[in-house]
Amino acid sequence: MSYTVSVSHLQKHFTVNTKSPGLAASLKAIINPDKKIVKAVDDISFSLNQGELVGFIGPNGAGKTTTLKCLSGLLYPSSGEVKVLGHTPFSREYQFLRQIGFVMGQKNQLWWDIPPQETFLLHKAIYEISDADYKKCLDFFFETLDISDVVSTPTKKLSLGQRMKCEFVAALLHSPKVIFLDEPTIGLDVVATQKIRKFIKEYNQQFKSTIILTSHNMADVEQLCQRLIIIDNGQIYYDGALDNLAGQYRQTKQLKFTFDQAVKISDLKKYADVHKIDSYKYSFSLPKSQALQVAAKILSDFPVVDLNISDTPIEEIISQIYISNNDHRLGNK
Amino acid sequence: MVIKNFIQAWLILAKNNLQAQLLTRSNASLFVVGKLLNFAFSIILVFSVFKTTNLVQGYTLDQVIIFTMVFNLTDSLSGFLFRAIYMFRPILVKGDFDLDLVKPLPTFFRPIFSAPDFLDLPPILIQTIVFLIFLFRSSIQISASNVLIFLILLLCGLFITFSLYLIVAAISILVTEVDNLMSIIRSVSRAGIVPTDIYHGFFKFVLDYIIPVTFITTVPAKSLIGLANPQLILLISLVSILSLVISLSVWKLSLRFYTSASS
Amino acid sequence: MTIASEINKFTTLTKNTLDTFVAYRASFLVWRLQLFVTFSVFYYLWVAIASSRSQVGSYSIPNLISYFVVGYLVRAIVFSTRTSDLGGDIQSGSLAQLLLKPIGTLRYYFSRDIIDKLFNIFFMTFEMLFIYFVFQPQLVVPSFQNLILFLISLVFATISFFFYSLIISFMSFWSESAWASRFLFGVVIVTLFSGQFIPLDLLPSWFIKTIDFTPFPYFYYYPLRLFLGMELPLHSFQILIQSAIISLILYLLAKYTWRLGLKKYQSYGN
Repeated sequence: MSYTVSVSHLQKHFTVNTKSPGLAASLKAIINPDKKIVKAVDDISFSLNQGELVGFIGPNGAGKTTTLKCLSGLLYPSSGEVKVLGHTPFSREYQFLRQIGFVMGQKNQLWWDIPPQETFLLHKAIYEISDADYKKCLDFFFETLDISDVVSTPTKKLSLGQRMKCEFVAALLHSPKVIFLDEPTIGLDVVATQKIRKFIKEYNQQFKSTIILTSHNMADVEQLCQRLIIIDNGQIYYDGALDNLAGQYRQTKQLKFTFDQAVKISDLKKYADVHKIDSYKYSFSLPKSQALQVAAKILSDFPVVDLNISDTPIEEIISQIYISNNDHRLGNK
Repeated sequence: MVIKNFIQAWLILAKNNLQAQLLTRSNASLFVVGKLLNFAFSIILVFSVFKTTNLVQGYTLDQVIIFTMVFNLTDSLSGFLFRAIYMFRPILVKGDFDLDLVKPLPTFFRPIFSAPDFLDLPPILIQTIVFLIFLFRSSIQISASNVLIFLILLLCGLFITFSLYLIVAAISILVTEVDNLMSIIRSVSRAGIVPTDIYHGFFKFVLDYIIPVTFITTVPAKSLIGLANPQLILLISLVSILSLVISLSVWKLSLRFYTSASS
Repeated sequence: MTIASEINKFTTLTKNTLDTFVAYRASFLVWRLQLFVTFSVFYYLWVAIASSRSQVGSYSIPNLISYFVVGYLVRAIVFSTRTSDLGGDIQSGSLAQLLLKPIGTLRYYFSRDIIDKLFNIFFMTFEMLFIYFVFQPQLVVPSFQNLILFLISLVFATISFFFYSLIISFMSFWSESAWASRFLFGVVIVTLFSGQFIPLDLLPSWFIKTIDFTPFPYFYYYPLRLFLGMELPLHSFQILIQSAIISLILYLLAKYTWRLGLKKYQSYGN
């Protein structure tokens, strides 16, 4: 069975100049700078089928963007094999380039001084989009993203949210089969973020394109992706369904009690590990099996006015994974 | 069809650049005035030098003026076609070049061809008219075959210029420094305001083989006044093809080592 | 605002400039190379024009060569400036951040200019030695009197050009693009009319008569004329007075334009 995206033992190393502080070091750096090798991607493997919407997350510097760039042909792998739609990305065959789209949250492909619609026309020419397809796509985008009144304003005068929507159009106008989204919601307000998320979901469902999304915004991942790949320090730590991750790590529940009179923390300690928010509010983190029991006991022993039981937020789960990887790494040193 | 895409994209960008420049009409006219001033001054310079002498290294005033005008023409044509090279560095530093590399266009499109400067067209037109008037009124005989060869060599010169700028783009990928490299090239190119024969030694070597001003302006001008022999003409044609091959290879190599500005 | 704090700011600026140069060391070397190449092109051009002759116009060969070689020094001192950044800062909005800080904005740019000039002079010294030993130019040694006149006019030239360049940058308060006005008035006109390509008295007389009313010859041409001792004593004195007056006029114009521009900037924003 052939995969749409297939990565096998991918490695990407960079050589970076380093400099110590101080004037003497500055002068030395002019003539003979110190160098070190950074392993941005350190032997990763994974495969994607057509139509999958995958979240690719990790802390800053984990190797997410480097991986995306290797997949799109922007970077040449140090070793390993990468195949997207049967092509080797770095060969930059036009057949390949016509089938991929890339949105980078902090970068622009819209031409700065001219309105987005001129960039769209440029892409129509470059990607050889027929008049009919062009109109059909634009109608779809205008409707789902609500941008018909901004496309004729010069890009430099648009707000970030408006610009990002137009960036999406520019990247997807040619109906690519594989789409790379690198932090597409960064810097956007709540409303714009929601709109973009809704758009990505609808686009994936309607066009069945394979989408790889990186984001620091956990809500993006939770709402859009069924599959999650966690990368840190150039290596993959988790690759599977988002629900499984939640299942694996969500063995605990959070209980938050509000009492109608001040309660001493010492009185609550006997039930479980307790965290004081203030004299009236306390929270517990308990294994699922014990949560209801403890809740019932406290409800009967104390004057509770409000109780909130919730799952551990996905952010906390993920940050626990980051922290434990970090400890593991530091421990090895 | 890649060529068709290329031309279509270029035309759309040219149209948009022109629109953007016309929006700020005062700035547009300032640029045009500046370029025309440069042109006028180069002629005044030549006249002034010849006030003090009859010949410069065997060339008469009329001949040197032809060299100066051809220099101005090639300079303006390069500026018109290849202006994008001056804007390449900010794009590289910001990392926006990544998004150009995932498009089905030649990779050198953005750094070299993406910003044709239509403000160079009025000066080119005026320079050409002045040039033609001068040629008609001067005592120098110019045949039709001279003109044909001149045009061919002018084209070869543009290929060589393109190759040079592409190598600058390649170097800038490796050290992200374009502005000053380009100003070195432009400074050296100014030597072409007079026939490069008048220079000697290492400097002449630079003008012949490193930044080939001789091939870009001096030899085409010589061919116009009938001073270029067939061997020289053949040499330039070969050099232009060779320079294209070398520059494209260097460019491909630099892309291979390309590291984007930030992740 | 004590002397200690001023010196501290100055040394910090210097160190920052050096660090920037280090970070962009390739850029830095290329920039120096570019200045040197520009010089070489015109040096060789004029050597070729002057070859096998004893005189070019009113210039003896040593005078002509000295005009361009000493001109390299003049260029390093007078024309090296960071004031061109100001235009860009106005357009981009960075000026707003600068105005919020408790430092005199103009003083800030002036300090940066001094540092820039010091760097230029430092590196130019090595380049001049290179020129002297490799090109072996025929040079004129000025009399003590001429040297003093030259140095005084150089000071006025530096001051004048600083304010002139500021005024060009201030145009960015009113125009859409900083680059267009700088290109025409700051680059093309200054280079052509200050005598950097050709000594101005070799140009047609109608030309010289016109630009004598402008500040441009005082940036480059007249200081060199004084160095070469090619002006009559009375005229030399006249040139110095005129340089001083021009510096004053440009200073007042700069101050006025700055005030006007700032008012507009603060009322309408960028």
